[in-house]
Amino acid sequence: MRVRLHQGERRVLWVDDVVIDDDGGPVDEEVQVDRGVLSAPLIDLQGDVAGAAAAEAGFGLVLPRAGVSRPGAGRVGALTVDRAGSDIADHGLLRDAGALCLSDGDAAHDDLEVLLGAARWAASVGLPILARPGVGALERGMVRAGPEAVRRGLPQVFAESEALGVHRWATIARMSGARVHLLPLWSALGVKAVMAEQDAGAPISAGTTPHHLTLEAPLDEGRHAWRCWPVLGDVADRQALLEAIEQGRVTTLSTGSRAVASHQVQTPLVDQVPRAPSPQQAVGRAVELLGAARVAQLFHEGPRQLLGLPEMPHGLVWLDHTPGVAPGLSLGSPIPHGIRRTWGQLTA
Amino acid sequence: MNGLTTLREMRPERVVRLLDAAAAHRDAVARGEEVASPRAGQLVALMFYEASTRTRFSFEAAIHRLGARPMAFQAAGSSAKKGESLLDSVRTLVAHGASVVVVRHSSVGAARFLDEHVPVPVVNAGSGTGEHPTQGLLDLMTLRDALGTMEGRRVAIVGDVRHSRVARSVCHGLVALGAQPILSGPGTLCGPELAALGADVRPTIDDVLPDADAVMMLRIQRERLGTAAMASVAEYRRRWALTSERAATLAPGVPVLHPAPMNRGVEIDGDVADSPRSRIFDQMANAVFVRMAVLEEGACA
Repeated sequence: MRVRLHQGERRVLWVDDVVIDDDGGPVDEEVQVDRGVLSAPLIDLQGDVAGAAAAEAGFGLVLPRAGVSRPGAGRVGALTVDRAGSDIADHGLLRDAGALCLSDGDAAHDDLEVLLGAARWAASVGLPILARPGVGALERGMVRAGPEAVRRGLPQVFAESEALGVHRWATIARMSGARVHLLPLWSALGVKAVMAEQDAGAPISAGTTPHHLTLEAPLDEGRHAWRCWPVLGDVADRQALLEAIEQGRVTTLSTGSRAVASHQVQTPLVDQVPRAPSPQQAVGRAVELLGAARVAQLFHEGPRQLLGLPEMPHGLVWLDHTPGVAPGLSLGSPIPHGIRRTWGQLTA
Repeated sequence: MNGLTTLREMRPERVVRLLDAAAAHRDAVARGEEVASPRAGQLVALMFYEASTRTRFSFEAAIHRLGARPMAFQAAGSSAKKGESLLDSVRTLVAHGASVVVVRHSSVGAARFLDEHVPVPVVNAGSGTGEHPTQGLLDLMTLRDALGTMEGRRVAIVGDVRHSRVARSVCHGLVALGAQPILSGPGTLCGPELAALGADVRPTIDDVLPDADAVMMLRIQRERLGTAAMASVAEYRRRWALTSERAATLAPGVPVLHPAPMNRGVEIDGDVADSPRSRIFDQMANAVFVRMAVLEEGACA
């Protein structure tokens, strides 16, 4: 069945169960999409999930967290050899092999000479760098630094680590000419540092995750069996991230917050084992907070421009989810709260 | 004093005069003529604080051809070990009768400093990562031989430009003669800031070769490979080496130069270095004649 969907200037052609570009040919039905947004497929800059599960969630391109190889995923080249922070990797060879960007993943290396050399090399090859801003000495912990961590006697992660990391990478970007995308941001101090550097002209951009937009520490004792890396911030951190998105200072979302399973957590906090939010759930929560249009922009347009990818022809229909209101139209939606992909529910 | 410490902002007339004098010496030697030089019988101090083979031997050859005599100074085993300052060492040799001082030192400003403080001409034989003006002149001489006029010519210089005193001098000399240097190398070794040399900086060798009237390759120091400055040899060769394939795309008559020593198979393929378009061994021959002209210049003044 061929259906053409219209939303403003945007049109996509849905043929059977596959969305393709509009070829201008005859269709069985023309449908005006009044609610939600037509979007190109999502691009996950730091995804833990690829393949069918990611496609189910509406992801058309998933870049694995650096160091994790997954079939069907986009390619991330190493910034340094073995991502060890000692020697520059062969960025040109990696680009020729299909790398879309360079990253050492979660590592926060301290050898500035190597990082600067690697950034210069990356700039000459034309690949952007994805970097997590952090300073090793200030983040050897498991929860956000603050009174709760002190009361519980937990090793702390200081927000100053992220701020220092932002300034360091901004300096590297300025000196090398490399494009540097800092992610995932988690703290108000980190956001403040990004804004200051951007105002000063540093060629940096930033991203965060739906987890850090929707969840905050401290976690209810006994109910949460997973930890997030980077650590979850507090309410002020979450609010700063939301404001940064509103101001266009944070331009991407990715699902790259690693959840540590309960059996890996050795603290006195765990009683039960609820599952960590899945990428689908995280995206759905972000849609609730920001609206489908903004989330689509953060999960598609921001990453697409960063990676230098061309316009993507495939279409995706997202619904603005309103609790208690029937969706009315479901076609290839990502799964906020279990809306299933079904041809039979098409309505005009 | 009127030594030769830099090619930066050198008047074009002086560059041309030195190149013409070098060519005249070459022609005279080719005819088997003895050189009648005002330096004949004089002493020339050779003060090499850094290791050298080519430069030192070519200066010695130049001194002998002029009828002068070298005073060889070895930093190792000298009073430098006892803490004597550079200036005092030079003054000592001048006091012993040196009419010219040739110095190679690791400090960028050493030659210029000496030239301002001693009563005889000082010739810079290489100062840190600063300049190597006599090498620059011999490269210009070789280019002029191959190309004729230098005005408007574009000369590609590829490799570790940032750390190359040779490249720096060549760029200054090219600008003085109205030519345009175009540079390429990894961002860690040839960044956009090198446009301050009056050069056009481009990303890869494939971006400079189509426009080049001449190509000069620079040695990649192996100790830099696989560090904060360089990725692997394979990565470097893909983007900056003058391979046989790339050399085949050059227009006929485009000469290839290299200040030597070469890493064959790294920055330049062996058969390119040995090809008819290579002027590398002409550079070596011209070294003696250029240094004769430079040593004589002060005597003529």
